[in-house]
Amino acid sequence: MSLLDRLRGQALKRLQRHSVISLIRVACYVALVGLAVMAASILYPAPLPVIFAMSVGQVIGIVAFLCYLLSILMDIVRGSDHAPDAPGPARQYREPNSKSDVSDSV
Amino acid sequence: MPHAGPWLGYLALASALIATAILLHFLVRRPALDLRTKLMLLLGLGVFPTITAATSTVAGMEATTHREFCGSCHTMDGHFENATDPNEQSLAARHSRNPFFGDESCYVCHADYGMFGYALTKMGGMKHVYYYYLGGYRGMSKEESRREVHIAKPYDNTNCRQCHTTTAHVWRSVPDHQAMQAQLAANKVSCASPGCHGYAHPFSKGPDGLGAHTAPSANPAAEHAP
Repeated sequence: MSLLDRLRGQALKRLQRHSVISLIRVACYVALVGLAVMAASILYPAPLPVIFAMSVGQVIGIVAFLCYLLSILMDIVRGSDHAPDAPGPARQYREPNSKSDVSDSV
Repeated sequence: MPHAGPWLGYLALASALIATAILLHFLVRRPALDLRTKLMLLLGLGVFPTITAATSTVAGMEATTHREFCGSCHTMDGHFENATDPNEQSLAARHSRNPFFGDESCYVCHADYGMFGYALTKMGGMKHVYYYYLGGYRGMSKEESRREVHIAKPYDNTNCRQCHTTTAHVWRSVPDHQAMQAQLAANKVSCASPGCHGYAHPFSKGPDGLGAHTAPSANPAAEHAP
């Protein structure tokens, strides 16, 4: 297995470990910061707020949207066997003897 | 820059508020992540923030053309006060009283009117911000800035001719204009010079308003300033 494959595998595992919901929540918090920066530039149009909104504010907004897109992608990867609000990875990615599987079977 | 008006700012704030409401609803109420929630989040994280970003950018760019924006740095206080003084008779003051563009007189007179003029003017403005915050202008007293801050390059008569076309009968009937038409077109003689229409900001040219103390600056950054 090449180093690239190993890195890709680790990245996928890490993504699958984190829940879609938490990533969307992060996206929401980041977007709120970006919106506040952009709104501040309208309410207080001084040089620094305007420049900050047009550079950092928009980058923050893009990062938030990318987090959202990534979470949707993860949701698709998790598949349909996963309840929409359930935390953690889908069954196909869980350890066979994990606690959540036991509770599901019960 | 086209006059977008204040409605763009209101639109930016309204879309930011709607996006904020959607995001807070998701964070507080924690609804199930079904298709409806995903679409709502698409609006809250994609559509409305994009509207906010686009409108706030246009509104922000327009805000940079306002005289108050230029006067918000203390190094421009003298120029700002000179331009807004109702009793002042300098070129800057008289142009700032113009009802059509007076609120944006700094931008209208100092903008670059070439093909890429808008972008070049804004890049020049970024340089001013850099000089203010990192080039030592922020720590200058008003008196120091009056001595040190000069226009970056000789004022181009083309800017005057955006409005004063030099083709009207009134302009042509002035003997000095006729005699110096070639020099004016070649920028060898400035419209805003002593003996012609005078400096735009005479207070910055020494006690007599004729450039008595405008010796070359010791601060190299100041040579590139407005």
